[in-house]
Amino acid sequence: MRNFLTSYFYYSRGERNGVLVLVILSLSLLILPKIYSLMIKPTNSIADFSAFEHEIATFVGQKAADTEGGGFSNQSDEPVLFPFNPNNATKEDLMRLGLSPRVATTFVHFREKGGRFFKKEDFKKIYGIKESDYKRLEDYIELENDGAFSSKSYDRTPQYNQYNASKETQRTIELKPFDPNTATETELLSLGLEVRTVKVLLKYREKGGQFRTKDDLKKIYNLSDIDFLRINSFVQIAENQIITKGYLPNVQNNEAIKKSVIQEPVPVDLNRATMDDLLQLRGIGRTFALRIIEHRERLGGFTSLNQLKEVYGLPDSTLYFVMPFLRLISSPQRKIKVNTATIEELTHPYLIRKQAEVIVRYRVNHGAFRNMDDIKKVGVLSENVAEKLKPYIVFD
Amino acid sequence: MKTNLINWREMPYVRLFIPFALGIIGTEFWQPKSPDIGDIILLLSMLCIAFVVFTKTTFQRRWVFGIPLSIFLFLLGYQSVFYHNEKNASNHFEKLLDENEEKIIVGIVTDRVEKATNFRLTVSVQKMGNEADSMYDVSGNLLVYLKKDTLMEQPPQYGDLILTKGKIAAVESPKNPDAFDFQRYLHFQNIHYQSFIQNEDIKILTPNRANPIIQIISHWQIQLIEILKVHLPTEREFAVGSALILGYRDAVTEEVKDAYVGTGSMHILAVSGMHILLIFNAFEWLLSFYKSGSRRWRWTKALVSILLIWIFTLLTGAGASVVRAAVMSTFIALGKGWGRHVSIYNVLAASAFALLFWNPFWLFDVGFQLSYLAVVGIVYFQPKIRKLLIFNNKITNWAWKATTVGLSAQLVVTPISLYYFHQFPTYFWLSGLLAVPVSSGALYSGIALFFTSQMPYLGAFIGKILFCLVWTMNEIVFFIQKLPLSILTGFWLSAISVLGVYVALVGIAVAIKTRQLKVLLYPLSIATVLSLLFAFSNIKTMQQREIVVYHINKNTVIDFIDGQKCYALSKKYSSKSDTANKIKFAVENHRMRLKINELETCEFNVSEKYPNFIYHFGISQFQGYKMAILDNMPTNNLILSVNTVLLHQNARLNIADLQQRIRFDSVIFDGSNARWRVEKWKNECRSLNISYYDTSEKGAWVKEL
Repeated sequence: MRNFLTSYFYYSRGERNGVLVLVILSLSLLILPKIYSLMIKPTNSIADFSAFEHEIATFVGQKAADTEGGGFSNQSDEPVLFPFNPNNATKEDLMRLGLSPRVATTFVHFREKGGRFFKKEDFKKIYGIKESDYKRLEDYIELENDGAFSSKSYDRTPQYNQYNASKETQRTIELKPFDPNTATETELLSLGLEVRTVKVLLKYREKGGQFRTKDDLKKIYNLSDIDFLRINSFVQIAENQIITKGYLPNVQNNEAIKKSVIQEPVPVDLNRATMDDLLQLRGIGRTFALRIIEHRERLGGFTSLNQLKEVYGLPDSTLYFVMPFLRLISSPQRKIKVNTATIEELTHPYLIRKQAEVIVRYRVNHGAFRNMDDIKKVGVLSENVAEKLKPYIVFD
Repeated sequence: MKTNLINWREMPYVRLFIPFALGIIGTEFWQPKSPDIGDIILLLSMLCIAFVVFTKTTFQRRWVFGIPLSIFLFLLGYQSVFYHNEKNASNHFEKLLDENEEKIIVGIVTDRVEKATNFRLTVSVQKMGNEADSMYDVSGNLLVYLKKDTLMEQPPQYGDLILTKGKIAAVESPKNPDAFDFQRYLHFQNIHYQSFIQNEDIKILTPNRANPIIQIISHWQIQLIEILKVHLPTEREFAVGSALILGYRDAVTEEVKDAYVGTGSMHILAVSGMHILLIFNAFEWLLSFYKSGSRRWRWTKALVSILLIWIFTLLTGAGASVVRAAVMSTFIALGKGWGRHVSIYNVLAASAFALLFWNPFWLFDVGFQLSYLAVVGIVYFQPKIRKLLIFNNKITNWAWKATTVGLSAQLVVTPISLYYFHQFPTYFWLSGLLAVPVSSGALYSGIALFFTSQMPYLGAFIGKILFCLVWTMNEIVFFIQKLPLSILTGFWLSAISVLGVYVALVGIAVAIKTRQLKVLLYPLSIATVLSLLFAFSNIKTMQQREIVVYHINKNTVIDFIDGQKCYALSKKYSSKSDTANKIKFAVENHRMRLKINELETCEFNVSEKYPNFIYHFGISQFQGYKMAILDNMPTNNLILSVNTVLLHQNARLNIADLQQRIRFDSVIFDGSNARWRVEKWKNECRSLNISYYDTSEKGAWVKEL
């Protein structure tokens, strides 16, 4: 061990000299910069720096104008103040007034979405406008017929009120027996119901809604309790008039109703159904019909009626009524060729773009998929999504 | 022990390197505030050295010179770390920083990393100040994050002088137990501060302020990448080809990277010592027609190969790892020029010394450690292993040779790679046998392509060859990855046991060399101690019980750890989504260290019952510890009493109301809550005198039961 250490620490004469050179070299490389910085004061070439300083000042000034309109003493671009109308000022105008590009963009977006400025205070509603901005610009805001607008803006439904008031004066209220299933608009109006309520009622009937008992009237959502009590005793419902349309016959109901089923829609094929077919169903209006069709387009066709549950906002109760009138006869038309599809083609309600990207990348690296299990190996699909996706995928 | 166990005489640089490296390691344990004392001792020991050199010493005291020299080198290593650390510079911008104050920053971009949603720039700061007329000359590195945004026309690039404005904050330490320590990683890159900057707050003052050589290089690199793009039309082959030949890693996808890491052939993808060695060999082969031992011929060969190495290095973009490999090979080439009797270890030590003197932080760099250990392993063990089997057949002989290279490198590299990566590629020998030779072919044909791409038919022909080779290599690697048990994971080693394994390895090498059985006693006793430690830690893992609330931005994960079983409460995400990756990054290492082998994941809106753990819609009990996990006001009528309440997912409630429903000792806020809400809760807790724990402040909440 002793020999081992001795030989470790032993350096020949030549090596010793070499090491000394190395030692001095390394030490000077390490410490010299420090000594150098102590001895020599750094000098800036003045001309160079002043230009540079100017450059920074411009940047900072411009930034300050962008964000706050203040904060830094040496701004080069002072905001210009001039009268403007927030309803039609351009983005550039707003930026010249000292608003940041971000706020100006919000401004334009607000207008594009249909937003209007009715009075000066509305200016503050824009997200990002500070109190100081408003104070600064208040006097320069010019709105077309300022006063008139501001009074209207509070009153959201002026036309309606006027209309209502005029009708009210002309109408004479006359209570007499009526059948809500058949009564005409004028009849209903003469009962003293509000125009709005009558409209809703008529619409309810148009959609196939029926009144089987007096209490059904309460379904009309804007019929006030007082009105209901007032007309309650005049309601006469003719039993045989009731039409069941797009409506699941209730087993508990009496035979009469069952017999009275005049028109029962023929079950429609969900994958072929047109807008009109869907509108025949109870509880499906234009919006839901459109959503169902859109969902079908995106899916490439339904494979199960249960997929209707995926339609946004469609309530389970409606589904329950509608299901018996729907059939799935044809199979989905559009399928995804998973081995050739691009990312866009792969994207599907069950498969977001990111997952599609991963699958395509996996395919590039690992070659074609042969079956569903190959796709599951990618690891982006959960078990039940893979199951749902299966009918839409072809391997070839 | 015989004195010629290690012939110290033939490797003076190894003896110089050891105390120097120890000095660098020493800074890990203790760091002084001021370098002055160290400098003084440094100077004194230098004087001692000079004194010994100029006096005559007796043969008995021949070791005297080595003592002050070793002290000097130790301190040299120690002090070099101090001087290298940017924070110790007298003009580091740290001194200008105030909390919550925006600074104007002028600096040069020295690195740009493109991530999925942002750019990460490393900026070498030149000037900083609060206002334009009060800018100070400063130094220091700053990490700047920019959102990827369509608004930004041209993100700053390498070498651009930029002007920007933003708040500067220190890089934070990891929030989760055993998670990857980004702060430490950046510390060794000499980066300590970061800033998140709005895209409109940045402006390029002068594009391309970098030095002209680097400008030319990056121009070349772009052209060469274009050539490769033409000849490697498929995405995967281009990614691998450009990484292999040019060190251009941006096109490499996670999948490709996983495959190469999983087969132990990552050194193919990263330009490394292997590439340089390949060029070196090719050059030697080209010049082998003229055989001469003359001194002049040796030196010409050495100098020309050094020149070639550096041209290649510059072409590949001169990344830190390539430069290190080039320095190493330059020293080896010089050693070869010097003569045959030069010890390779001496040459390696000299190159390591030079590299560490330039940047002492490299000693802690994984790439540095791996490349030097691999080379030492190959140099020492490969000839010995190779002698064990001799084949007469040329092909089998060649295959055996290729296998032994991989085997000897892996032998030495394994402990440290288990320590860093926690996994072991089972088929490293197979990929070494199949993929590595193909990769050298690809490298040669790639370089040939750059010279011939302008020629009409030859260029296209070599391009085809290159494509075939890269494609074959990819297929091999992906095939090996798919083999059963291709990657073993879940290793967790402590630094001490890694050190123990290396000491034992040296012991075995010594025993083989001295051919004395009793020497084997040392490695065997170390092995015994290590296995004892291992057994103890295993017993400990079986008894461990703890609850961990991780800190993950916008997500909640809670682990209830019962021995080697783990019940995790978390939302479920598909395995490759960004969120899943984020969660994996936060929790994986901790679970691995605790040797979890059974994982049950529950969602928050379920009711589950396990032997020691019950979870019922937000209320949980683990052993005797009760915890309520709430993202909403509970609707219970009875007053519930628990030990702790965890509020997550921006629970819409305030603490005072909560007290009406639940009795609790303390409350935890995790990373899924918005900052302002946590601040509100904290204020409330302070006024109600309730103890709270905020994971974004103190990191994950760990409760051992």
